[in-house]
Amino acid sequence: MGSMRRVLDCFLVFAAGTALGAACSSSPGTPAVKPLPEPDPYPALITRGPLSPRIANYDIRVRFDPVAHRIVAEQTLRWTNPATRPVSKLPFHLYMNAFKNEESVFMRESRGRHRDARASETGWGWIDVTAVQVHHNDVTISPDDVTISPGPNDPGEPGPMRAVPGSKAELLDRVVFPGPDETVLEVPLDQPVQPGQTIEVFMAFEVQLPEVFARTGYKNAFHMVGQWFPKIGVVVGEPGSERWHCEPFHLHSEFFADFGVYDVAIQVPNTHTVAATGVLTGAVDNGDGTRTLTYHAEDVHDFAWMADPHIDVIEGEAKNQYGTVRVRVYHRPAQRHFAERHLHAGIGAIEQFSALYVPYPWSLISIIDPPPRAARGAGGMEYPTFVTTAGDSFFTPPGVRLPEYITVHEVGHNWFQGMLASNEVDEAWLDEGVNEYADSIVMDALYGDGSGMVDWAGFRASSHLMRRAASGFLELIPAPIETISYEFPDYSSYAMATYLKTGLALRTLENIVGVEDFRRAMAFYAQRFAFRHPTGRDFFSSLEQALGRQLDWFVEPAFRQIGAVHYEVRDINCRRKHKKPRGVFGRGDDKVIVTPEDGPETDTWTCQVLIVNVGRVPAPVDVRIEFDDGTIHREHLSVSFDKTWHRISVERKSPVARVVIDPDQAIVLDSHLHRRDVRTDPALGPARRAAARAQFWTQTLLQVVGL
Amino acid sequence: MIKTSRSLSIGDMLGTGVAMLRRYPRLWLSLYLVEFVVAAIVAWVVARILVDQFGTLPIFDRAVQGDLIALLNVLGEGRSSFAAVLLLVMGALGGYVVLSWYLIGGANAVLIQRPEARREVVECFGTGGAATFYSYFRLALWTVIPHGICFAALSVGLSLGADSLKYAITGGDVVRAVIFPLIPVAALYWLNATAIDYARIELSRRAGPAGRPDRASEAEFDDSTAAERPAIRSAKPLSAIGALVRGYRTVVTNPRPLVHVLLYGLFFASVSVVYVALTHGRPMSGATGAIAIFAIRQVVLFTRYTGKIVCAGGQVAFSQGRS
Ligand SMILES: [Zn+2]
Repeated sequence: MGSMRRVLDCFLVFAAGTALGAACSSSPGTPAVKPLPEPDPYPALITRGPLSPRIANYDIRVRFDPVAHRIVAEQTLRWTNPATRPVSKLPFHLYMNAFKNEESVFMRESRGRHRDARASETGWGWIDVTAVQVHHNDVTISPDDVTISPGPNDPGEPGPMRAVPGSKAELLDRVVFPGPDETVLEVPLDQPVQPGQTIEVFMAFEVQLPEVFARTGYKNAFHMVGQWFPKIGVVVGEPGSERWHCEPFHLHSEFFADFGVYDVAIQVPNTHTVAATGVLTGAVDNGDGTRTLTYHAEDVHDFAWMADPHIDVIEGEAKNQYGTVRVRVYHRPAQRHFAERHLHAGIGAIEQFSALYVPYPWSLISIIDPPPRAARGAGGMEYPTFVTTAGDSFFTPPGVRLPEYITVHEVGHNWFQGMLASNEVDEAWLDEGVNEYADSIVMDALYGDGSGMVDWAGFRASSHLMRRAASGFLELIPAPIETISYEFPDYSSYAMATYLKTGLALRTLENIVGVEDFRRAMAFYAQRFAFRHPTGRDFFSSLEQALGRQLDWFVEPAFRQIGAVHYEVRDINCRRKHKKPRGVFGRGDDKVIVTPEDGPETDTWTCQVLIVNVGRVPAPVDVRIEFDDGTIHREHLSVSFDKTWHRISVERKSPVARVVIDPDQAIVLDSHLHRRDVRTDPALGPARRAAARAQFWTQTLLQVVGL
Repeated sequence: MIKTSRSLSIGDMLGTGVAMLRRYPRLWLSLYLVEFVVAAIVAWVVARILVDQFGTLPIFDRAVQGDLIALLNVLGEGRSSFAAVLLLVMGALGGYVVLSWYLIGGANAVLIQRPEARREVVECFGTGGAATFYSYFRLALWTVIPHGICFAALSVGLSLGADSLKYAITGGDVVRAVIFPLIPVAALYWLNATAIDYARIELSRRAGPAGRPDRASEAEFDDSTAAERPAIRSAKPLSAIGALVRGYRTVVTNPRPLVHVLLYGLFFASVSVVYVALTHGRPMSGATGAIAIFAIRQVVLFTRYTGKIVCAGGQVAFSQGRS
């Protein structure tokens, strides 16, 4: 019995060890009071502004309760009508209502899942607009005596929110929710806003943050606050036929907004570190355990912020044509070694994107590295001068550059969407995919050609090739790249078309037209449309203009239809040439039979190689044919629309040994590589080596399961 | 010299195991050859499949050489071939488990009866393996229960750890997420595997050739010599479940069988680590490289195999000596 007890004791120790292990996950401890931060000693821009038409300008004053995950705020929007027609209503996004219940468009489409994260049953989020007042060119529309509460530029007046005099309910009663849910609110105007006229709209609102699963919300003590304030839509369309663009918040869509200046004062507990869009212009201790931090940003189209009591920050500098950009990475202490990797990637991205396209004009960028349990929901999101990254994991050691890639991608969005503010709802590819194309260039520039994504344990890979190899087949995406984001049938189709296929299509186009020319054309597009709202049409017409050639032959099938390139060596056929053709020639009595003796074999081989492109996207391609005697024949196959195959005939003193389609791997919009390189004689060595390895592992397993 | 359980220490078990290994070199070599041949047949079929599918595709060469993109493409395009390879390996493993009932039965009979002449060894192995095949089969059916418990513990452990593993940042996080939850599973497996080994030995001892008074069965009826001779109760039939219960009793009443198996486990792991250290980062290409890697692998496999024989020899000695 004694020894039985000993064995049982052993098990109890093991079980206790397990429980302890589970409980031992690092707890960040009680938050301490943080020193009051010094305001940033530099302006919002490192170049002369304004850089954009400042159409939508916000002053926001926020009181933040991290325990209830609640925000109480007031905002004043100064909006200028950019249209050629009067505007009689103002639509506002209330994105946070996407997380209000299961009936919102977002929740119906997502079923509570976004990427790999899931919504919790208790962490609903919402936004309540509690007051709406409109000032119209110094004339208060209704009620007459409304006063706009002071903007938050004066950090000396944090205090409680002031009740706004006037019958706010009267205006509030007139707002409507025109869409299928409460993510769009419309304010009807008694008096239209004339073209070029500026209007001021005051709103008071309360936000309950959701438990984060789709970009915004809290996870334990970490708070990522995005899509949180009532945000006016964008007037789009040709002059004379403008309309509002203010879609309900869909699952597969991001954001679209006008540029402006933001002044935001955030009152937070003094235990919390805050990072936000723009620069810190003021910090005041309120003496009640809270402080008010005031941020100022120029020529941006969004404002996001983060508050966390356990977060540290490291800082570095990036240099570009305008000067110095401060790069900060906010991270939990346990993620310090990842923070350094993010910082290196962030600095590199700022410098590379600046050199490739237009210089980064803001003086600061904040990169938030969320704690691991928040990263799936909050990580990997872009806001102007403020991004969240992700990828920190035991399984991404140095050399497995997923964390760096995410940082580069999100920082890259400061160009492709931050400055080139395309419509992410209607044309998600124009920021995500164009950005992904650029990311691969930047990653290879930062970490070495061909090893931008992986350089670990002898494995090397660029990001675009790695992503292609790790994804499904491109021709199985059921919708073209140019699809409105919320009309994709599922997340996989959306992601593969918008990100991967776009990136590969552009990379292919670049290789076809010439790398240098294409990069110059991309820079031309970026410089032409920075701080505007370019469309896909603008994008391609800029490229065509800069390249001086039409691109429709490729753009139409690659971007507007389903499918991809799919090249294969279909057949290799060689035989000796006969001195005379053999067989029966002539008719009737004139028949002549040419026998093998009459037409003996010569020392020349006549070979035919059949190359097919069974994908739907045409692409010119090089083919290299290697012969047994070591000679090489290279041929360029141009695009032909009437047939999807090419037969190459060639005569040599020896037969074909190997055919390689696209030896320079230029046509990357092709998932199928295995029959692009074919030899005529099978090689036994590699298969035997693999089999020898299989033998070792099989025998090892035999030793485990049997004698 | 034969010792009783009171004096049969781990050292004695190891010593007996080594002695048994040296006493029947031809038998153990033959059994190793069986194992090798099974794996070689698998490898031959694998080679055929791979040559058929990829022989003319240089992308496969690059994949074998460690080109990550080529490897991922080959795995994606050749999914059906790799599924076939996997099925083949699984089939070989299943078949070898069944074959092992016979092989282990034969080996146990030899270790129990310790025949002298070469012919006797062959005969003892053959009859022993055949005699216990069905009782080993019945035992295997009963072991579905402890293995099932082990599997359930594994599932629980993995599901407990999976969530933490997703968020693991450091090696410590991984240890907490995976190793800690799996320690009880490993312990359970260790207990089960050891008990099953002893259950098989019990079944083999009971199935000693009828009417043939070997030294062990003499001991059964001669209390005065019990202290000096290994015991075997070949006269009484023993059910598979009875053997399993005895196996568990053996391992829970004395820590030595568990420690002994643990030593074998450590030996197996150490040899594997040495193999990884020897081969990691060395491409070993060309014909010389192929021969070198083959030789290293066979040395590793054979060394681990000898460890298993030493372990089995010690277990039989312990089982015989303790009564
Ligand atoms: Zn993105």
